[in-house]
Amino acid sequence: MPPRWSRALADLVTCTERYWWTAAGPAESSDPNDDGRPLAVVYDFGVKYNILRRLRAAGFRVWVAPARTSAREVLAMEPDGVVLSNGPGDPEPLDFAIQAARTVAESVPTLGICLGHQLLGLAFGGRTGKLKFGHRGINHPVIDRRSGVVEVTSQNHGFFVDIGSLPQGEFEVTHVSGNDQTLEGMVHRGLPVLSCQYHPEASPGPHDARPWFRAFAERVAERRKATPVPVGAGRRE
Amino acid sequence: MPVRSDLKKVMVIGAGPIVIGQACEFDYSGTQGCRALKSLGIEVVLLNSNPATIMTDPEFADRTYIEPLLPEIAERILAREKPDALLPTLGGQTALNLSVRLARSGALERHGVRLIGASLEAIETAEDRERFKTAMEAAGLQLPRSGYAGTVAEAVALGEQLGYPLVIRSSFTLGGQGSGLVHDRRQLREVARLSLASSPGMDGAGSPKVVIEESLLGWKEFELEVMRDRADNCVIVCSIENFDPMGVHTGDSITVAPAQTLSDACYQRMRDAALQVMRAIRVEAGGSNIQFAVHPRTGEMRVIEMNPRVSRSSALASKATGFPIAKIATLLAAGLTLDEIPNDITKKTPACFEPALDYCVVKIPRWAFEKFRSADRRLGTRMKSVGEVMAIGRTFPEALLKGWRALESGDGVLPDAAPLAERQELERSLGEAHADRLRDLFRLLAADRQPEALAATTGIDPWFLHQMKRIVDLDRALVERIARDPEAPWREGLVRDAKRLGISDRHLARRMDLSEADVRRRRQAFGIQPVMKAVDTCAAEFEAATPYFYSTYEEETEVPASERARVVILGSGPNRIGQGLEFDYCCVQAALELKQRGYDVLLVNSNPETVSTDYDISSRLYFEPLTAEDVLNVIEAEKPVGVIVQLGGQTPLKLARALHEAKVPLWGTPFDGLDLAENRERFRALLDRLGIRQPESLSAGSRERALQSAHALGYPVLVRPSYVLGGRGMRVIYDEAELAEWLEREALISEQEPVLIDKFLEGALEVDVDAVADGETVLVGAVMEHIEEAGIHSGDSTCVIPPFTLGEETIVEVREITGRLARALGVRGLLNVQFAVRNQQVFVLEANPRASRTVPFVSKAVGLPLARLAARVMAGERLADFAPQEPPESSLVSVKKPVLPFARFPGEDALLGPEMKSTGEVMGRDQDFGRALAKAHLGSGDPWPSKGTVFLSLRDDDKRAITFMAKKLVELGYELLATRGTARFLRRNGVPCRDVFKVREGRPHVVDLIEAGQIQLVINTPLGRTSGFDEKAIRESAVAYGVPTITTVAGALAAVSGLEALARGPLDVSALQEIT
Repeated sequence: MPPRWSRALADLVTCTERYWWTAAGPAESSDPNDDGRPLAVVYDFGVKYNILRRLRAAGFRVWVAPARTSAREVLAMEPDGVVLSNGPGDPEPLDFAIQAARTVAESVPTLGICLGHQLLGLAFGGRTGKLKFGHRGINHPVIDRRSGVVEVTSQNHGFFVDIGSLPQGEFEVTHVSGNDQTLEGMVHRGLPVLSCQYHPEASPGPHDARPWFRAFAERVAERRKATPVPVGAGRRE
Repeated sequence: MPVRSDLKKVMVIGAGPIVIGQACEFDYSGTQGCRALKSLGIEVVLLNSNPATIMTDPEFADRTYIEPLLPEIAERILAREKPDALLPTLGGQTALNLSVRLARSGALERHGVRLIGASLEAIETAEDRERFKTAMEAAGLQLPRSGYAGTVAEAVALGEQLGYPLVIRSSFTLGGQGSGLVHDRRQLREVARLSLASSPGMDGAGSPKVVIEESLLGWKEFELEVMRDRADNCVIVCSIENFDPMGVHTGDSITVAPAQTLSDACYQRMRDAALQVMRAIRVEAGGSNIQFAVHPRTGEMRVIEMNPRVSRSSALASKATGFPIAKIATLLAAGLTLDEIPNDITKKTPACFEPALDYCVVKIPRWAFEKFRSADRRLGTRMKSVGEVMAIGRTFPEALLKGWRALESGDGVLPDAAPLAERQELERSLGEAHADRLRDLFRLLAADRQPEALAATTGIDPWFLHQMKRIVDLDRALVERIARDPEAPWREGLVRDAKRLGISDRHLARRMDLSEADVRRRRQAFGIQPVMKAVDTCAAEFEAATPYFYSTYEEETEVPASERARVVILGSGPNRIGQGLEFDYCCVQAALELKQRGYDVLLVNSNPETVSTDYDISSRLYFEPLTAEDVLNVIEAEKPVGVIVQLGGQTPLKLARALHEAKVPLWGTPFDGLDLAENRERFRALLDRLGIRQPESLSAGSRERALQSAHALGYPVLVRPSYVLGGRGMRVIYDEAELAEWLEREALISEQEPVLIDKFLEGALEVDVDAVADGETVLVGAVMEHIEEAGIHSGDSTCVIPPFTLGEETIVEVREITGRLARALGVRGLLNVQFAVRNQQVFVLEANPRASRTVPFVSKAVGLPLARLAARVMAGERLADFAPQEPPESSLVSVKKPVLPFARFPGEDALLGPEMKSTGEVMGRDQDFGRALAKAHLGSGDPWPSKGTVFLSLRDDDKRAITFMAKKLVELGYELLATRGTARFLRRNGVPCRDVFKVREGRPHVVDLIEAGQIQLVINTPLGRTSGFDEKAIRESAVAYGVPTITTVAGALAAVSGLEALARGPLDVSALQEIT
């Protein structure tokens, strides 16, 4: 039997049906008050509700899709941006998600969080591995290489994307761990793709990393400005 | 960012003498700071007036100035040393204030010195209430809402706007007069009227105003310790929750780390706010402490205050987390950033993280109300505690109970249930915090009062009370099981549960009617033993290189094996009057010395303020209560080759018997020698055998015997109860009626607890000696002469090295007796002997074969590290092989002066006696006695006036002695004032002196003049028992209005020589490292 972590654990924790995230929490339909907001579709590999809350707080309508939803189906939902959620275990066995991640990321602004970040890493040709000491806790220093400033972050991951394995020049490594210098965040140089290894939604944990959501919202807004979407387009189902 | 290249030499200012509210935590931070600067290759210039500090040992700075903390003196040092920068944030409020004065006066600019760590701008914004409010509001943070009112109508309008309850304070009045809490409009009108009437107006001019502020009484109180660097990296080192809600000074509150009752959401909001405060105040490179209040139901939050410097709380936070705030703050000030500094404990990870705690820390304050009996025991916004303990456990109950026994103020057992008759009264008194509130909560919980009810009365979060109830419930289960079957608790695991909750062996012993040693043996037979866990900043996420441990009842021990020989040094526990920093100094010196000699030194202590509990000092630090149980746990875990009990004062010495009986290898003076000196009967016999003079003395087991004995000895006598500690309850008594009254009041007298009565040597000089002995050689560190005569506790006396009136023959005799005593007691290590000298006759008052309060002072005065020498002796070396026969010659005079806390305790008589009252000390060093003494006075914050009126009130015996002095005062330009009798006497002797009324003779009387600021110095030698009303009133008002008061003839004579010295010209300064 393969080691426990090499199984597709996301299947055990993902939702089985799509649902909307509204001011009142999970719902079967979108809240009419949210009309006009950009739509974020969230791949649920075991998503933390606070990611959904933070996306709403960043101005999105939020629609959650099961882990095995294909990229084609997700893009058919006409998202303004896609979020690849956190989730348990090894990213490698999730071949369906790795495939979807690549397609989605090449089509719309994409944000990967934790497992979602690892999926992006694999999707763009990087390698992942298991950390000797997993990062767990709400006190992990992450250095933003662009400003030199340290964020204190909430982390919970046992796998990582190997910085050296990333295809040359494709990503800017924006964040590394202050503790062991492993990859903590990257931004694609050509596509509006943001990828964060830790938990910008925190809860529990410090709010230092919240700007990730704002940055994602900005990418989405830029894209929307560039390719105007007809009003109400997102409501077609 | 690298260390600023423009920093070659930095000046650090210490906190000066220990006072209530500013204790040895600043020695801890200052010592760390100095070491950090030196580690960067920066030259350190240090200014601190407190000789007991470890930081002022010559090795910690390159240039150490033990001089008064005054702007003139500091500027002289700036001029001499020309440092590149001044680091103002390590020495508490004292250093911060002095630095601000140096900056404002232009002194820094004149000498090309910059402030690092906190800018003048940041300090002023944090300290000035109005500017702070503006800055906070600009950052979108809320302070307690408040406003000013000039009339009752304005007050009412403001009250309606803010909502009740409200606090009213009149500006600029002394001692909180005219303030109050009001619950409705009617009360507001009343208090506002009174308050406006008593307010002298803003800045003493203009129309009166009162401050009306929303009351935060009952809100929960929190503190965050924050660090920020030049790159704007910000981390929260620790959250601290106050067990006592708002309204009690945080120094008087029981506090818990990390915060226990906040949700993550609420905590993160507070964290965000803390970061905003740091940015708004622009603390650029250092640590700060920020206090918050949170409404228990709505979660509303207010910023209370922030300190842009290290503090008592930052010391606690450092000890609670293993994150050395003062050290890191210093490195940040020098230009490093958090991500560049490695975490000391993991070595591999950087300091820009937030420590994780897998344990709970509780701090409990210790008060000294037994010393200040007329003082108000209630707690409020003015700090009253003199020390604190910290305890670490896996749970809050365990840490709380470890702290409870570490306090050493009781016997460490749980209090019994309050009897029915007392419950109501007890509960009523809990509404206001007081010094015994924790005990009373236990007593009421044991009497079945419910946590919710007590929470409603006290405002303490119910969570804490429920945790306490777990302890009480377990204790009850224990009693019930034992009643049915004494073996049951052992078999059924109840004893294990009790230990996990932190209940002491001593408490179990009482419940089981066994001895403590029996409980220990049985416990071990059942395999119930503690393990040692590490404090590692990261909850075991990374490997910890720095060993800092606590005990708990779990499965796995985290102490690695050690190859080297291990020595345990027992520290001195919580600071109290009579036992503080001086003993920590000795422990630290010995630890450093023995480490150098290749030992692994294990320090055991429970006091978070100390340098000894810095994990950098010892090889391993055990943060544990200093009780036999906890110390034996460490000893059993570590199997040391030696245990040192002579350095931490009475606390470890009291454990000597239990350790001796447990066959622990004690280093230093053998147990029998300790007992010989402690046991008064044995000691008396020893002195008789050696033919050494001592005051006649008798002990009395009954009232009648006491009166007979005193009569037989002849008055005056010195009396003391036998439970005496630090001179408690001691008194000089002049006649039978006074003795009868004292016996009545002290009450405790029995054959088991006799009262000790000594013939009092009136008018004798007192002399102290500190020495080191190894069984053959005796090295006398110094002979110190006290300025005050015998009868004043040695800790409260001003003392001088070298002796200034003693004859050479007497000094020789004193040294010779010290030598004989050292040999007779078998002293290995330190010895302190106290003498009285009268008519060239030398009497021994007591001998203490242990470190004394004066060891650091002597070490600095004579330039010999006595505690280090003692440590080598205890490790088996011979003095003859490494120590000089005598201290090096010095041309300087050193004076040690005590600092007294009377201003904190209104209503307490500011009189010196055999019971020690001082909290700290300062040192003055100079070429002659007068100047050294003047410096000591300036340093003590009790400076003499350079001109003005001196009030004299003398007992008849003293009048003759003081005529000469009075003349001198007039020559120096002072005016004299005295009550009729004294004034007439002085005038008859040709000294001009004006009359003033006694209090009952008419007005304006002397107290009126003190209050009106027309008297600048009071010299009052008390008349003994009959002194009566006037003297007490004079001293009280003098204390309240900050007028220096001298209560002894010797003190007055010395003061005059100091005044003469000051009149001769400005004082010069010199560093310890200079050859003199």
